[in-house]
Amino acid sequence: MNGDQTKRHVLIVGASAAGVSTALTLRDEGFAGPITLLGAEEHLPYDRPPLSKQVLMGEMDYDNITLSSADELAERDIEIRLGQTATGLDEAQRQVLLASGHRVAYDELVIATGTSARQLPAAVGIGGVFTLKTLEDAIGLKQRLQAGKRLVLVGAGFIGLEVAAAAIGLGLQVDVVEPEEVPLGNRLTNEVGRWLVEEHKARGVTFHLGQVVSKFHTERDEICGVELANGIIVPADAVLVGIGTVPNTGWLKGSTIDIDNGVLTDEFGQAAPGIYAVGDVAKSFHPGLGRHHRMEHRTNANEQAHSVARNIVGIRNAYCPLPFFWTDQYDNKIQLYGTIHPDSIASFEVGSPGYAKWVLVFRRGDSIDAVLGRNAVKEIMPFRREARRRHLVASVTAQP
Amino acid sequence: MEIELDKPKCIAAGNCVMLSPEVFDQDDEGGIVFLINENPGEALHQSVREATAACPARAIRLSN
Repeated sequence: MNGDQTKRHVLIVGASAAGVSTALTLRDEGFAGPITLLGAEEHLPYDRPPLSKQVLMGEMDYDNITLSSADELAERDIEIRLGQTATGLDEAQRQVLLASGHRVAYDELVIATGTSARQLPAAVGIGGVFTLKTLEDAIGLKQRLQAGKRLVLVGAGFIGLEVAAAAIGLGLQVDVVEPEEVPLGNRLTNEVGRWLVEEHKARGVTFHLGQVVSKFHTERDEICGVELANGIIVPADAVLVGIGTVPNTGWLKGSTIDIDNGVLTDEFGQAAPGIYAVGDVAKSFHPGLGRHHRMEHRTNANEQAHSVARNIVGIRNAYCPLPFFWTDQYDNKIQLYGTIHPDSIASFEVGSPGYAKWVLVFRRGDSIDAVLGRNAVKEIMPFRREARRRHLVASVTAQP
Repeated sequence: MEIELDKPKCIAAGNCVMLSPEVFDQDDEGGIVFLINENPGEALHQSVREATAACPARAIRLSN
């Protein structure tokens, strides 16, 4: 970082996990200049993974999922401005434009604007149809999740299946519509995807696989049914559309920042001189994979924020993560560590589907690419350590 | 160094155990974190800090 550190202002646009983590790490690393966090939502920063699980189940509310309190932010001398949506970037003046018409100047800019839930145009504006990204989304959906009601999930991704599990727990009838024949097959393998479907079916979830929605039926603008391409009409009191996300990059249009399904950065998290991106919105060059890669993982939000914060204070480090991902569905805790390579050979090295615990290991030659486990948090550890050891060696080799 | 665990927040990722196995462990049942060394010596502080930073649930807090 150039110039007098104490006078340089770091502006972080986005006050969710990655943004907050960047701010806190800057302070941890001794950065003494002003830090401003801009948040589009009205709430102090909160954590999103519980929204599709404990918050719907009523086990946690906002107070349990805050990422940082006003006291902590004040104590760390981090200014937070809430309800501020960025609408543009003026690189010449080094200013961010806000919806309010105001501008905020920066010396170093960190883009942490995350993603929005992808919408189905045909469903927008219908009462009882939700996406799930924000606390308001979760509260709205939760109000509809009453025993005996019917919930239809459009999309059997992680969000859809976690909400299916929560809704079953709350006593609803649940239908899942998914265009693929095997949900999450590309993420967890077809074998594990099929096993997961059976776990849900055993608890009463009805699946419509290989099916898409052709029409939403309404009664006085409220959802009452979902018609599938095969003609079946599934009655619905509520619908959750979980069909992926879209990076929040619209405000960067017209700037020189390269956008391609995310903000393109180098391996140091830099998108342009003095401009960085972190978290779900960032598509960083991954030295290990040899390409740009966007990771929508909670763990990535932390780790990438650490890497970028350290780069900002001059501790130069390339970001070369070994991804970690988890999902909780019923009493199943599923953890994936590493990246499954198309040439990886998978084998169950602890248990197998049908066992209470199993670990599926993905190997190429004698190195482990990834390891996937069910309720095997301890059993998975030796494989994780080995994968990490190999990865650290490989990433050191890959460093420029 | 004082380590405070917010166990209800723990999601059993195991990142702390992975990075600082001398200080953190997980229970067999749900994989929830617990401390096996409440007063880690200076030599372990860096790994404890890494473990704290790597927790995806921010369930570990450090003071002093």
